[in-house]
Amino acid sequence: MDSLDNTSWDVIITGTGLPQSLLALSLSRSGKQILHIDRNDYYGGDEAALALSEAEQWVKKHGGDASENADSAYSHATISLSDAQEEGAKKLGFSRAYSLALAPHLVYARSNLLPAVVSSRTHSQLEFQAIGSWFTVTAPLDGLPSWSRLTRVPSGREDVFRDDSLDLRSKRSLMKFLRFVASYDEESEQQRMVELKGLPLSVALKQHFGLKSAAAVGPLLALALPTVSEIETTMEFAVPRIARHLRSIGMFGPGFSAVLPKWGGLAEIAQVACRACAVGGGVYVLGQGIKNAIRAEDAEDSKLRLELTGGEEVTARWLVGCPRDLPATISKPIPNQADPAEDIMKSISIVSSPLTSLFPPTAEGGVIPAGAVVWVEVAGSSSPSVRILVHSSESGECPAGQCVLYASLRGDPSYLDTAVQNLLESMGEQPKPEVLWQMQYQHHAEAEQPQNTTSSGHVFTLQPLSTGIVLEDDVLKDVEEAWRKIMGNGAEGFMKFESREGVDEDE
Amino acid sequence: MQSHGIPRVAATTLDKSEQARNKERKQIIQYQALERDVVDRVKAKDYSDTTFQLTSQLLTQNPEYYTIWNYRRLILQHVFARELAADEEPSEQDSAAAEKANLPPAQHEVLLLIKEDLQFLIPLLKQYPKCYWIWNHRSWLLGTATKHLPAHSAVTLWQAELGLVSKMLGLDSRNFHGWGYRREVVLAIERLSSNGDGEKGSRTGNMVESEFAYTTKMIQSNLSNFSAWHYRSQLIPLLLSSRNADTEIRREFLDAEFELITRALYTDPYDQSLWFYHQYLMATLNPANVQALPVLEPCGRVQHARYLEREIGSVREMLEGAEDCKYIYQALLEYSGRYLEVEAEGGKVEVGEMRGWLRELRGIDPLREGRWRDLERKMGL
Amino acid sequence: MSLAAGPGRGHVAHGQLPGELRLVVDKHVAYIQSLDTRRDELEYHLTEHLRIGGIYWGLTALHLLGHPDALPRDGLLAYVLSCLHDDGGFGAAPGHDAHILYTGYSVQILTMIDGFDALEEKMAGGKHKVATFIANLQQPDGRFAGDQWGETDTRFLFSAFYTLSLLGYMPHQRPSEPPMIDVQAATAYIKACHNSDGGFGVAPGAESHSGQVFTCVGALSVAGELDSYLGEEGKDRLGAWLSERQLASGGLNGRPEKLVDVCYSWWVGSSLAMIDRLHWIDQAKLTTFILQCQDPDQGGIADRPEDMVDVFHTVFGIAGLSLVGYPGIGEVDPA
Repeated sequence: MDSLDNTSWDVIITGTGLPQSLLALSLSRSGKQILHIDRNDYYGGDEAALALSEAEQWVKKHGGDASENADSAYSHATISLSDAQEEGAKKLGFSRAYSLALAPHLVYARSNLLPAVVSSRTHSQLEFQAIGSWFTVTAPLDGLPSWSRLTRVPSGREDVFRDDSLDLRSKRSLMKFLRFVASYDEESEQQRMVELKGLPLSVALKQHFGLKSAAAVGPLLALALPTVSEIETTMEFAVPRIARHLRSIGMFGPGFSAVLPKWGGLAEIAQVACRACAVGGGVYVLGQGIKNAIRAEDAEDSKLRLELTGGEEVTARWLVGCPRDLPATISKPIPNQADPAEDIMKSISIVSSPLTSLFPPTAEGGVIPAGAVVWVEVAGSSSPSVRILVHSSESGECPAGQCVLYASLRGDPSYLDTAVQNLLESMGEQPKPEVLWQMQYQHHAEAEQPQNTTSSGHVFTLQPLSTGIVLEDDVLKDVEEAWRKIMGNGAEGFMKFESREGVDEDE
Repeated sequence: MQSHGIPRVAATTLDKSEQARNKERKQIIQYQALERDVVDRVKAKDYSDTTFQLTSQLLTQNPEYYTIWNYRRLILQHVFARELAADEEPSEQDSAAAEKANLPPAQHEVLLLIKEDLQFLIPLLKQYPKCYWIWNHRSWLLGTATKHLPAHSAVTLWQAELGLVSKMLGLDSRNFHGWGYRREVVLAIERLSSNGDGEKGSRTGNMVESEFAYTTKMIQSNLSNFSAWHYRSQLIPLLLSSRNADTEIRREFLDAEFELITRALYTDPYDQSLWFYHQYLMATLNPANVQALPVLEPCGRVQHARYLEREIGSVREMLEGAEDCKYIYQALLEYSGRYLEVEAEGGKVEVGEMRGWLRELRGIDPLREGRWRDLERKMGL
Repeated sequence: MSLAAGPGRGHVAHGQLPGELRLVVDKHVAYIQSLDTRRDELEYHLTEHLRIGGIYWGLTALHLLGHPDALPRDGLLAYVLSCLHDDGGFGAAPGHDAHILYTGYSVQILTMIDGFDALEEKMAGGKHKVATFIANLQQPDGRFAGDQWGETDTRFLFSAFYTLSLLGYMPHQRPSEPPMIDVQAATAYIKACHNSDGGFGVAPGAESHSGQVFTCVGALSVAGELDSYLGEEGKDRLGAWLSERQLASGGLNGRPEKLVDVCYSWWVGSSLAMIDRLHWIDQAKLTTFILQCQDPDQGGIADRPEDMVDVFHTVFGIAGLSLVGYPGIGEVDPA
């Protein structure tokens, strides 16, 4: 297609982040004329995965503060290179050997994204890898600045059974808590949950489950992954999250609960989804955004007239995107930034060791996982801990012999590096693994929009993913609603497709 | 075979499209033609390689078709007999390979054929881990190898089976075909590596240590694996005798097992498998249970009573925080009943307390009310 | 007779309360009658090796439901006899090799349709030939092989016992003739499969399994040794193990920590009945569970609610209901 000028479409989707791409996938066999654009020159939007040189470009663009990055979820980006790089002792690989995820996520086995991936027949183009073990790194004790301890989180009955640090009664109490978690949403436990939900997790454990040992609290926090401190983490927050973890264990194989998509995380799913839409006839243009929009000129055909950033004008029956991709003139002003205190500080570090001990097999005869989760306590129980996702080179995100650490925190960004250093220290490897390359940035939370205001007329706004590191279960909710609107009432078969191969075989 | 656990989503046979129906009709015709071909050839005693390959095709589509497995064995028997009787000179290459394997050329050929067939079965086993006939055929192949080949050669085949069965049990840790086959494999290896000294069916016990360690590993990755607990219970008497354990060692061993199961029971008192193992340990002390395998030899009345006292005490402590766990009351009642039989004075257990346990039990477990009524009568509570 | 699963699935009919569940006898009869009309399904052909089993299960279910004549006798008789081999063994379908299991099923069918005369007509001395086929499969250590290829299993031993018993060739039925089989060696083998938890396994050393309990208890019962061997103590232990198979849903499982399945209603239930401990489980709850597994619209019973129905689970569900005295179902002999 030489020029888009004066073309007419059923649906224009702007942005190629995960939600928009999933919508493209859901419409890929609808027969609708679809134009899918992205103002960036790469796929994936907020969930993009970048090679090193791309990351360096990206940091240049996102270096300013939030006001300078009004159309982006990110700001304050910087790169720091470690000394090791200059000495040339441990080498970074070439740029394309990396695929760094801006927003890496844990995808729990029970996530409703996975059945949709299967029923839409895109699973054969994706490779999911296990996220195996959870660890805690406890804060260095006073007077012992370099000492920190790495402990594997017992995340199931057999781990509790084997854990020698727990005495018989603690095993009993911990299991009692885990059993409660497993059935917290059943009728029999409802009353109890109402009573306990406001209590901090650590208090409830002690008072209601008889768990006297404080050492058991950290591991449970690690499974819940709160962005707030221990004392602010309530049962109401923690219990459903721990339950999600426990209920996911064993679904895809023994001993693990979550997966990551190989080659760059959610960006890979977004790409595969876009490819499916392209195969179905969708047109893809990168480096084009929506500059301006005029309401339907002709009320009769109720089409939108839109001006693209390249100057061309196009018309469409439907326009869908996340708020930051849509021009202010069309739907409503860009939603106010949520409280900046909600922003998440993130860093990506490339490390000079495979950190093999973070990736033990998931079970006797099980797989070697490609991901691990580490919960690093940096400043005591009154301050939030740092969450680090560690991806091995098996994830395809870095060359062999290295790994990538994705750290995030709500709070003082200087703690990110402290946490990374504490983790590397706690590994006990000699010499201590080094950070070869590191970038830091700020991820802004999107203000929660009431569902009924997300769409107006023929414009549909998709809620972007949260700043969290767990893919939430409602990722498909907006997408399905948009799909339903576009397809008309009574549409059936959301994300359900026959295999294309099967059709060919029959002919 | 039967539709065990086929969820309802699969039940869409009623609304097949015409296209799907045509496809199925075509498949039926192809399947029947293949079946006819195989049957006709075998009836005509055509034991050629082509017939053999056709049985592979048919069995891959339908491994439950036992008659075809029989045909496959007929063909193999025929080929083995021909190889072993052959007096034609093998090629130089074949003789060199046979020499390397330390086998006469004919036997080497048989070994290669058996290996090839074992290989054929692996994807089938993975796809149909509960199909009796596939396990049978494997077992027949190994048995035939044992019959035709010298021990040093057969034993390497059996040893490879140990790896396979571990992999199968890694995929499904309760597959009872797998556990049964494992017992068969271990017996065969022990027999073959003891130069035939061991009598048929008896255990020389030279793998008992590694097998015991295997059960520990399996239990640690799934406490509910009753198959592993059971196998462990079967190995213990052999283990002790292969260690030439004296009374003291036996006692220490038993205490370590009690400690292990207590740790497991504290972790999860609601798991039946664990209580069956505790019950097994207690049964080894009970001379009245003729099915029980002896661990302490001998275990006198006094010693039996002391163990009962100790374990009743330990189980009683487990009640705290698990007052809703029926197995604890069941164990307390069972062991108390036995204790009162052994120790007439019954110093450590009171009938009143037993009545209380029974009352709790009946409250928690109304499903088995008839059993508790009988128990009440039997124990005179 | 199709062994293919489906087409229906077990569930509670819309708007029906569990208390209103009832056995849809007519639907089940129609379901079994429909099974041979599924020749256009590949699955029908892939399950040919089970055809005799399917007929036996279907026919037993019809007998229990009070419709013994719902399948045409002549057709059945001709089909069963077409599976007979010269050595007295029966295969699972015409042309399939003889095997002890299918010989057992065939003899059961012949018993139900009163077909022994026809057997004698087809093969002179037929009953004796069949008995000889079975007896020849006994091994020196008492076990029975399934066929000439030598696989052994306690299922085969039980099959041998009940088949000989139906034919009237168990040694105690013919005290004046030399015994065809060594009953003592066979029962000694069963006793070697007895575990300290009270149950029986598939071979000495194997873990207890409800299906094996049924075959071992059944064999001891046919041999008349059940009471003397187990005694009250042994029955208590076995009864305890069996009664723990019932889970909160009312259904029964085959081994500790496994899923419930309708077929264990029969294996566990009849074993409990043979040792006079059927009242050790909740029979009302078991009844409800079985009824929840039936397809109230098209007939047939599944292994669990919501799964696909098949004839195997249909007969064992109905036999389970018969054991607990469900009204309108014929009585079943536990062994």
